[in-house]
Amino acid sequence: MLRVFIGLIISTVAFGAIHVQTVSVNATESVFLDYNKTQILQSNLSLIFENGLGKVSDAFKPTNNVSAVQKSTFNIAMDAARGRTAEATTNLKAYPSTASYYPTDSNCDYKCLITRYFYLGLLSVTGYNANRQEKTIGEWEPHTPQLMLAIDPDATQLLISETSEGIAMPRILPNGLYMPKEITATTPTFNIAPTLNATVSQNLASLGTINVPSFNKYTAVFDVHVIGHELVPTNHVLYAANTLAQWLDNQRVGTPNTWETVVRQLTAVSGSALILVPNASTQSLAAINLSAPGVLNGPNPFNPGIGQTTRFQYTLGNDSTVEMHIYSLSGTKVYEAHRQRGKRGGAKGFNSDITWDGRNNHGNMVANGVYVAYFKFTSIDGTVFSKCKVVVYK
Amino acid sequence: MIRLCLLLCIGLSVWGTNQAADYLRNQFNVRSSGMSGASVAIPNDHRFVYNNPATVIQGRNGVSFANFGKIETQYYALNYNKVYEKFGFNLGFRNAHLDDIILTETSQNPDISNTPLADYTPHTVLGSSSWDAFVYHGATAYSMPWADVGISMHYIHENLVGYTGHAIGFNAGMLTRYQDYTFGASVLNAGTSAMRWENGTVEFIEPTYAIGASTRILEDKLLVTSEIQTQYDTNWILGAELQLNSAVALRVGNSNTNLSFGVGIALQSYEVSVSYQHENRLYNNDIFKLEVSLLWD
Repeated sequence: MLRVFIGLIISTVAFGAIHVQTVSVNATESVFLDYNKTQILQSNLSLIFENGLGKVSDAFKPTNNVSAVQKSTFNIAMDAARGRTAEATTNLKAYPSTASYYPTDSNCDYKCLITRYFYLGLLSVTGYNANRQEKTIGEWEPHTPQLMLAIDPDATQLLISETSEGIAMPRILPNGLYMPKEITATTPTFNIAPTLNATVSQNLASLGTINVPSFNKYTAVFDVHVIGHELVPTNHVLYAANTLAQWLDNQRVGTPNTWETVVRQLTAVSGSALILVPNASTQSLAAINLSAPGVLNGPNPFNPGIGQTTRFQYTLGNDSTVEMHIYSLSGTKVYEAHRQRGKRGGAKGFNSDITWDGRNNHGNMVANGVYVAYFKFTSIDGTVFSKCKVVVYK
Repeated sequence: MIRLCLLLCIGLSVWGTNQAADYLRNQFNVRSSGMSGASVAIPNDHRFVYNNPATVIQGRNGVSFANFGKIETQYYALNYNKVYEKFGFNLGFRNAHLDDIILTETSQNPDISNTPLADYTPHTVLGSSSWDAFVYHGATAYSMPWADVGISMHYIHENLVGYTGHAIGFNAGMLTRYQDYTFGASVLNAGTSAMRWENGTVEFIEPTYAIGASTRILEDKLLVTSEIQTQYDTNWILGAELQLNSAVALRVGNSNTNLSFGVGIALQSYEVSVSYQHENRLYNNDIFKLEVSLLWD
């Protein structure tokens, strides 16, 4: 028995030694799950791919016709992954056993297949697909970056490298926490580019008998305009801008990588420095408002020993009363802060007013470790909770 | 007397902590958790070793494994106990793990630093990481004519998103019996333990003192125990365990911080304990714990 016990100890130590060294760069999983925004992400990435990237990059250019003589490298990689070049809408289940991408959606034509291949490939390369395999059962095999490299080396190379046009894919998947400027509910004063008017009309037509909405939601990211009409939930517009911001700022430094790259990537995004929010979601505005805002703090870790503070940021769907309670892992409350509804820190939109200097409410500096900040947001729509993990290291 | 104790406890309570290894205050023994954490003066169970090493000599040979989650953190505890005629020893470890910690830094771009925060994100997301703590202990206890006494040593290793720290601490405890009462006392991290981080920072784990008493009434079917634990705040605990029959025990407890219930089931050499604690300080205040033990003579 003692030997068994010692064996358990040793194996646990070994496991711990390996485990604690694991630092991933893509684990914004929980954020996505909290936001339930993967549909919006898919819509936005599809928009970026079809209207921007696929137009300016020879390597990614999608082909409408399966029998086209000249296909892009990405197109060829998809055919290899599917193990066939036939139209997707015929003999849908006749994929060879070697296929790693075998979609069976009869509504998805050949161009649509490439767009989805791009979406799934990017999610696998950035590591996001690893924990959501159940979402892609029946159409997608390479769930991890390692599998992508082994199964789809050509596509992987395209997704992790800069194209000959100087366009780079996001290194970290947009996670909803990289907030651009606060959205303003004013009618944009610029004209919608003619090339996108068709898209606008298509969106309006999909609304059926609803009166033509006005485009009253507007924000800008690095001089790229993001607009949405009155029927699009505000959070969707923000998230579209967020996706765009993270696309442009792959280095996560707060500004676009370089201006030259930006110009190219702006083109890649939309072809006309404008992105539209797709009207794909059926979620109601109320439902969006009731979802808990994601909270991010930074810097994290922070060092109160040298006077650093950490700042909490979140975006509110409505004016809210905000309570923040920070607990140590034993359950001891070490700090709390409150903000009034509609005031700084409790106003609709982006907020970053609450900070923590690493001291408890008695003024004593807390010990190194992890502290959990629980947020309670109360608005006219109800009460929701959120949290984030704060690391103190002096 | 009870009122005086209550007043004393509340008067000594302070809000907040600057203690290192604060997570060690969580109760890892599930039988104890079912009684709100009472553990220092309960006889004949070595699984209270985390709070009183003298219990080692009063237990049985066996292996116990416990698991629970609290405040986004998963906890595991395993210990092995061996008892001889006059002494016993106990080896074990505890692990706490918390992941999905999003790492960020403030943008270093000078243009951004002068920009109102509402205009741009103040943070750059770097990725995510985890925190782990491992606590290894070795304990031994001796049976003296006047009391059972025990000592233990523990080694703490923490990995805080890549930064490491370690500490060594010593615990001591005693159990003695007078008429129908068992009295217990312990000190954890005696003389203060030092947590040393890789950057040279040294933090301290102040001693935790506990003293309590227990007795059995109703033809030994009902165990009643009370104790006071104090570190940077003071916690008064009242717990009870009703032995329904040889296999099933029901537990209840109350303290400054939680109301608890528990059930213990013994089947031959196996014992399973579950507990539920309602922490009155937390939002996610329902904490469930599970412990499985294999015991033999």
